[in-house]
Amino acid sequence: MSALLENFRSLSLSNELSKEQLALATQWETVVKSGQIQGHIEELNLRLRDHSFILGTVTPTETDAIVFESVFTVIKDLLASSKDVKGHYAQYRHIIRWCAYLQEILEVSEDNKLSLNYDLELPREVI
Amino acid sequence: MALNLSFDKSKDSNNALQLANNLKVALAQKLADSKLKLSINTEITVPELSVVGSEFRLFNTNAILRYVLNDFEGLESSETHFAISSLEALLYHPTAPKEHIEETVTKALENYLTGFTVEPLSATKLIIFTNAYALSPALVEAQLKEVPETVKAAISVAKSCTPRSSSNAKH
Repeated sequence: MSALLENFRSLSLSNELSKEQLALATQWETVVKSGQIQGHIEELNLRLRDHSFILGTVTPTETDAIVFESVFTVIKDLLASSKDVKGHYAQYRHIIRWCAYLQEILEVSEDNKLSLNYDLELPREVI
Repeated sequence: MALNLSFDKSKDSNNALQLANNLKVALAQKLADSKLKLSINTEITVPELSVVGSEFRLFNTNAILRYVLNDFEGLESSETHFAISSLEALLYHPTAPKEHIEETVTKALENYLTGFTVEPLSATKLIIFTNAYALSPALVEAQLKEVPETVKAAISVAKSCTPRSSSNAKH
């Protein structure tokens, strides 16, 4: 088990999942385990636009921790690139919000954390 | 509950991946409880399940199959892990060496599919079978002599929904 998942389990956040939430957990965990998260970043951002957490729960689930572990490096790389940083913030704003929260509760080490610029003025999102 | 399903006819999927996706959708269609009203939406070219009158939507065919069968057993089993991390991951790499594909499919047949004829089949078994079959139909057909009739019928539907290309003649 990864350190992040271990950290998550130590939080003792339990969620009784519905059939729909179990299906969503299957979906996102399959995406991660088959190595396809990169191709589903837009879909994940959309999911997190409409829900605080992936399964639509009020507290994070293990699925959030599993997906976070995989997405975190992708988002970090995107924000670390010098090209169009503002565009990336705007495009993936919901994943970034979710990452910023999860990195705190999962106790990602300071040197590994996403360093976010909260002063950036982003264009209004058109839904 | 009324559900809309669609098959994978996307140009972005390679042939093996498309066959796996379509077989899972076809199995969902064949094995669904009669209380579920399933309709096939031919307008959509990517695999999808949506619940009529709800925002709920799934794009992943493992999730679609498990949802329709209401079978979430074994999500953390070694069988599911092998089905996804080994077999399914290979479906996204159509240029993987044939020897590697055959070795992985053989492992699935020997370790997880020996009792494939015993019904009812779990979603986990169906997923591992489907991924192995899509990677190497010839090898699976040669080694697995008996396949349940429902699965045979689903294979036939999946093949009819999956356009043949030169790449699928290879395995």
